[in-house]
Amino acid sequence: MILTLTLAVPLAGALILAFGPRFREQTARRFAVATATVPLLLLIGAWFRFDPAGPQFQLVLDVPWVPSLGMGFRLGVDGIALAVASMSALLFVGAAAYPVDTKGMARQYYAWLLFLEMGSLGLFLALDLLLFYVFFDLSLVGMYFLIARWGHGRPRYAALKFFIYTLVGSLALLLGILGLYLAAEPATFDMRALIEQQPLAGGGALAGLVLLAFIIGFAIKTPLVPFHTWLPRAHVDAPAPASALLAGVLLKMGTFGLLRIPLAMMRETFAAWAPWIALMAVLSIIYGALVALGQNDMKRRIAYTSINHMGYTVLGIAVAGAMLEGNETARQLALTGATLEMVAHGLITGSLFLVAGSFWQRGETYDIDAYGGLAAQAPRLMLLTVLASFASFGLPGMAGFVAEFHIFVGTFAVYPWLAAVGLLGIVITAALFLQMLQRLFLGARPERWADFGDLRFSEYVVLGVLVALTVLIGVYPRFLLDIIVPSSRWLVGGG
Amino acid sequence: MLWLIPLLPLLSAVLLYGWCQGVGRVVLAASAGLVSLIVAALLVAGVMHAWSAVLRWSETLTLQLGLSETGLIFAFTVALVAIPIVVYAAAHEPRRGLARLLALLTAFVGAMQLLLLARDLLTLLIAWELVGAISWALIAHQGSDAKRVRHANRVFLVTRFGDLGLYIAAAAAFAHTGSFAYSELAQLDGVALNVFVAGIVLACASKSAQLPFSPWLFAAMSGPTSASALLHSATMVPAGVYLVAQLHGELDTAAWFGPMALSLGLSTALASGLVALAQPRAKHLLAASTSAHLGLMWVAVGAGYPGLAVLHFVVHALAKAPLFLAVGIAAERAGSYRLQRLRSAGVSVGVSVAALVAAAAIAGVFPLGGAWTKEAVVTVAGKFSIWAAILAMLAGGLSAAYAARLYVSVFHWTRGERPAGTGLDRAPVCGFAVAGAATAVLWLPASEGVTAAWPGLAALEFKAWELVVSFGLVALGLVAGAWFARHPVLAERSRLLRGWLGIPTLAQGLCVAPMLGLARALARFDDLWDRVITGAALGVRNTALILARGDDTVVDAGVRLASRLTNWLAVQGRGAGEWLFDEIPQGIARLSGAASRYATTLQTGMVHHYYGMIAAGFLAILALLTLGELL
Repeated sequence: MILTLTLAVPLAGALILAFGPRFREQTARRFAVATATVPLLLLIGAWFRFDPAGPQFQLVLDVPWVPSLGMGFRLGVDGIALAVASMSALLFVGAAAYPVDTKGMARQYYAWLLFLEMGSLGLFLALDLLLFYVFFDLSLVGMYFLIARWGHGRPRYAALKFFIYTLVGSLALLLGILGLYLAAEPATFDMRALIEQQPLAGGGALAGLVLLAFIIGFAIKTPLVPFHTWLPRAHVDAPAPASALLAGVLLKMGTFGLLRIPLAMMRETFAAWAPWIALMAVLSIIYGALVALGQNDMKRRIAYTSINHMGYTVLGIAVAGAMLEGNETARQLALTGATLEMVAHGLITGSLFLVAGSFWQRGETYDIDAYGGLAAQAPRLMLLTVLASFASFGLPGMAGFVAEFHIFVGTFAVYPWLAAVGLLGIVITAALFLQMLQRLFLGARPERWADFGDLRFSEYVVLGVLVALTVLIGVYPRFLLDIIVPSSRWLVGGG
Repeated sequence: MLWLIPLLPLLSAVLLYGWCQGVGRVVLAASAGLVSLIVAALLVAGVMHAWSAVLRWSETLTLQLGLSETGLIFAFTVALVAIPIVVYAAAHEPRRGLARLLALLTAFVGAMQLLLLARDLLTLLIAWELVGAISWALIAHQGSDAKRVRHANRVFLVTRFGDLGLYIAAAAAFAHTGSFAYSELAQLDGVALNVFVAGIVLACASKSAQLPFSPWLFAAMSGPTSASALLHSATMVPAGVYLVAQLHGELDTAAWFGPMALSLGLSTALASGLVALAQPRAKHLLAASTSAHLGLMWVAVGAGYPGLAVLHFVVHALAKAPLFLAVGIAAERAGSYRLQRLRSAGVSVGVSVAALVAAAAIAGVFPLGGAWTKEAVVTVAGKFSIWAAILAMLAGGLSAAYAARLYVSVFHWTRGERPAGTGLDRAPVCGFAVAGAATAVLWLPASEGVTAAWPGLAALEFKAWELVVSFGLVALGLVAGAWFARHPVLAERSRLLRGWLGIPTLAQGLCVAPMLGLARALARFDDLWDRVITGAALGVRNTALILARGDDTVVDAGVRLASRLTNWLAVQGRGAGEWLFDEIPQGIARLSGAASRYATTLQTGMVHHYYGMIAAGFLAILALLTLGELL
């Protein structure tokens, strides 16, 4: 029930905004923030009702839909889904509260935002493959409109590119789902049953093809190199809160899907392909970081670091599925790290994109070299940008470190060489963020920024909460690990 | 309770930064000094009650703190050295940003305490990187100057590259023992052991500015003088030596560790000594001298005497900190750090005497403690090989030379008049000198009480010929240094030595420039790759168009649909109010359409076909959207 409400409230909110009273800008925003807070509170409630020692999936709702086809409205969470969904719900509150130019269409903007929230949370909570797929596509629609109508630059082009590219991915995903469905006996979309059955185990070429379909689908969404080129374009032209959500929530659908479907349901095939997936992940780590270093556009730079960070996540997932048994502790660490990285990346990169939005609101440009010397002018903006940047390159005491440390340690036990190469990524990301900070805040200040304002209260609060949470996870991640670890241990087969 | 020791300074730093922006210098000095004093008191309490602490992250990851002998000596030194330095900083540094500077110095002490109390590699790694990050903030402190920030970035990146060694060491230890605790490290063997030792050596060499990482210390000179004093004497650079001393038992099980550490330390000590002799600036001279003395500590560890490295660390800290502070006082008067200009500064008599004591300790002049530990290093190196002893003596001679050069250039020239100011900046310098002079007790037979903690060390006996040659070299060095002070031939002529043997240039050419170039090339390639993919999509559209030309009905339907879609998108884009009425029903229609299709399959039983159709339907949507946008 609690999970159904989590999805129903934002949907109802979206409908009210769209068809209800003609709210004005401020009212619409307050209404959206209030509505978005409800799922967050509900998920925190779910957190308390979740028993780490209990069964893998809890708070399950299973309403038959078309029983003869094995379809049902199935929701439920394990620790991993709960952690990622809660982070997403928080980010939605922040995105709704963050100031943005709604171009006179505030109701519509917030309606789409809430609609997107319903789609995104639905994906993390779904326990039915078809439902998963529906939410996957619904979130595409929501994001398409947010970018196309409230973006800048060439928003429609960027939105369409995003839409088509990820739709290709979703097509691959659909084929994979059908393959899995047809191989199951009896045919069902129930994730729990599919995990139990492992339908394509020992399925030879067909299993390989189905896995390939999933990997392409999720690699596009994540995105992994070389399927990543839609990402920078979409980010640059999207409004800042949408960017934050795109990076913070939508990219997670790729990695979450990877661990929820192929890793859990096709263990044997996944293990056979794991080295290649890990290699692709390491390629993304290094390539993403290097390309980010070569960017002069703030948002593109942050966007490419997403590719780097999602590379770590995928590396963790690949390691977790690298073998059917043995090395359980290390693989559990890697998967726990991958989950933590999803949460950490959502909070950190979410804040970084919001920061980029603040720059845009003040300067109408993302060109790093256009700024400079803003340290004295905007100390609060600088403080939070510095903290978010340090968090992003994995400074201890912040969430990113805990995540990446888990992943490295886990990976090292399974693929030491890949871990060592991937480790180089943290030096490159450090270089690119330090360089960016230097160019934004230090040196000589161009004359035109004489009246560059510091963060406003609402921006300060949103960023402050996100960064504070990053620090909390960095210092005392236990409250997260307590629910994640049992789930990841179950997934790697350690009991 | 042990958590209090690192947490107190870290949290106080936040308070100092948040609430002490406007308060006077004396209050700042008192509060920052008090924090370090409390840390020292807590350490005493910790020893008396045998405190330890554990923080459990998960079943596999645990943070542990504990007190070890080596850690404790370092921790005390850090806390006690920090007190005069923060007092000096509060009195001496520019008013602007002073609260932030003191907050950072205090946080630096906290992070270093965490590093020293850590009993497992995870906690150590956390502290290790925090120390690096705080040093970045300190060096970039006067950030209006872009060069300082570039230097701060360089320091952070070089040391972070070294940190990778610690990551690898931690991962190797975990993969082999299933734990990060120091206490489990003894289980390591084979490849895992070698990887572990190599990782630790990399991390420690870069942190303690050994070859080839030494030049980062020059970049670190862009920070305020007080930050340099703390960084060199206690909080960052010595961390590398601390760790090799702390883990010596485990590291030494790898046969190559001892010779490796010894030769690394010796070559750094010799090279840095020469480099120091050629520096035109006082701070750079001191920076190179730090590398050199840390090199001697590495020699001690490599020869199997980690306790000696700890002792040398203490005497070095007591001498290096006041020299930085005194140079800061002189430079403020002279308006420059160039040795030639500093001559005119004319420090007060007290500072001059204090600098003499400190410089003599650095030079290794009998009867200061610095001389004892250096001679001990020579002796233990001699147990390894006679050549090692001779090289260590030469390094000592070089130390004497640059210390003399510094003293004669800067502090030999005093002014009769009473110095201005409160004296809060001069008192710390003198305090250090008194403590430094007290280390002379090491020469007394009674000092066995100090060295007894390390069995090998207490039994150490100097050889006569080594003492004679070594002291001779020191005397020679002093004379040469005084000569160089008046005739700065090396500083003027030898660009190679001045520029750290060309290492920064090499690093720039071999690492930094290629990486930046590669980044830019890859960024261009990435744009190209994007165009290839877009081009492929266009190709699909064109093919579709060509095919469509052959089939009028498809053209009609396709183009009409596509243009309708374009129109629809355009309307959406213009922001008509009714868009939701369109979209939501459409979405619902799509869902119910899908549902009804599934429902029909119930009747026909031809499930496969229908799924195929859904797939084809999505292909169609895709093609239509492409057409709609690109037509």
